[in-house]
Amino acid sequence: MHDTIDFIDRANQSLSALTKLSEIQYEYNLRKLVYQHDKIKLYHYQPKTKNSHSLPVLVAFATVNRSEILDLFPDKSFVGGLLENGMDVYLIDWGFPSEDDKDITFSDYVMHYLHGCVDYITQERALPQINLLGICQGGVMSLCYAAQRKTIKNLILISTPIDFHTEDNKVSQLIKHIDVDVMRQMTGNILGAWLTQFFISLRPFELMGKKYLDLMDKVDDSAWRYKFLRVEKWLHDAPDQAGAAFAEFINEFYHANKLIKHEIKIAGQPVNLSDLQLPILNVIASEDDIVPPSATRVLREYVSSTDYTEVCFPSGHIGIYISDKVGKRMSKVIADWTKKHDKSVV
Amino acid sequence: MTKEQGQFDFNTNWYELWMNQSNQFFETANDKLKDLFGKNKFVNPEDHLQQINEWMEKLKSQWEGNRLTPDQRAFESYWKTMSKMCSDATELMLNQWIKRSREDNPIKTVRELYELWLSSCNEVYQRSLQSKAFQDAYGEFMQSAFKYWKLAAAK
Repeated sequence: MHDTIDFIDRANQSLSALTKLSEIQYEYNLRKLVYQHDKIKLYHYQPKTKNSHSLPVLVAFATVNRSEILDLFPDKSFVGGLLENGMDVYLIDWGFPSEDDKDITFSDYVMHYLHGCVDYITQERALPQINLLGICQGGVMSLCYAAQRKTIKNLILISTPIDFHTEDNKVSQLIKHIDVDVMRQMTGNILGAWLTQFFISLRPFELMGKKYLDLMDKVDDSAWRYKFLRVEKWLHDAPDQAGAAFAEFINEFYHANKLIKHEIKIAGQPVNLSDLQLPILNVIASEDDIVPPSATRVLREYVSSTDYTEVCFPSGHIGIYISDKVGKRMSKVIADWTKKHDKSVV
Repeated sequence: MTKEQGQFDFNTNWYELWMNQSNQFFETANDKLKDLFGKNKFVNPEDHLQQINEWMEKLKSQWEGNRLTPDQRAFESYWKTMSKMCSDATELMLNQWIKRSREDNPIKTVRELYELWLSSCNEVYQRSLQSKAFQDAYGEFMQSAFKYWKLAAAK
């Protein structure tokens, strides 16, 4: 009986905490909007050290979630770690597509928006090349871009799928039964709320049951609650997806696995991974169940880069940016690798 | 347009769904199993199988299709699959409960039983994700869910 009363009390307390979710505002390390094209914004972070690396790094997150996860707790965030380790950081915010954006294609994201950001930085800083750091779907965009343009000096990838049909790829197995084109016909864009439901449905008893049980247990701990609610806000903040680009990503990459078959075309030009000869740092999360390590590791087999480094951290797809287990270690590894590779700049 | 400016707020819906289902777990456990738990009371579940089975039937019923709203009727095939999984999870939970008692690591509270229930559900669900039957039902469900979210967003 005591258990039941206690459960109901604490469940209501937790519900009350969750209703304040919309009051939570994201915070960031100091940054400035430097370039905007349609809904896409480019931010430049204020460096934290006097001697920053010679080359700026442009961070391209996935469009399916908000890039705020990279700077969710500014004091100990991934972006904060890059800055503390002397990196000069730019970040793309893909924005919240509306109905007007339903025809934006994957090629548009790569050759129009990503290219626009690279172009802005190289011109503004009078540099022939910069570094590119692509994450998950943003990593796929970055690969496609780097395979076709010579403006990237070093490529860093985190949790980036290459082979979409490895046996343990849950997303691929589930999504093959979903007809994205039918959804697109219904709404033009793909709803962010649906995407959230999709990700939760990969592990519902952990992402609902276990997670909310933890909330109930620790709801009185204000520091813990602050952290929990901030992550929860981010989780439910998935933007709607531009219909054409999302359908292309699912059909061409997930369903047909065209990236490793060299059958992807960006703006009419084929993407051949073997054209990639630049230094690559491939970062993997060992417990990633959205992009399993098996989907990522194969990159080595497809590129021509002789300078290829792989690093694995014991974390999941999102935990890698916010977990205490990884902390700022990942930022440091990336900064050290980049610093070493920047030295060869002419 | 940011989510804050959007028309539909999903933030608490998942929690309410979980809270309702969890409430049912605690309430039915309190109703059917109250004499199995108490201070310093370690009961062997094998001595109360009939009572536990009656409670488990209650637990399974939370996935019955008749709980779906008219808008959610299209989820039926997925719901049936979930119902089967729920049934498998309750069996797994009972086996684990018995195993822990035999290993001198008994379940002492409803809360501990609930945690065992969650972990059993998770194990069964992750196993089911690999099966074609689940994947087919899942595809149909997500397709229907899309229509549901669209309707919800329009309201």
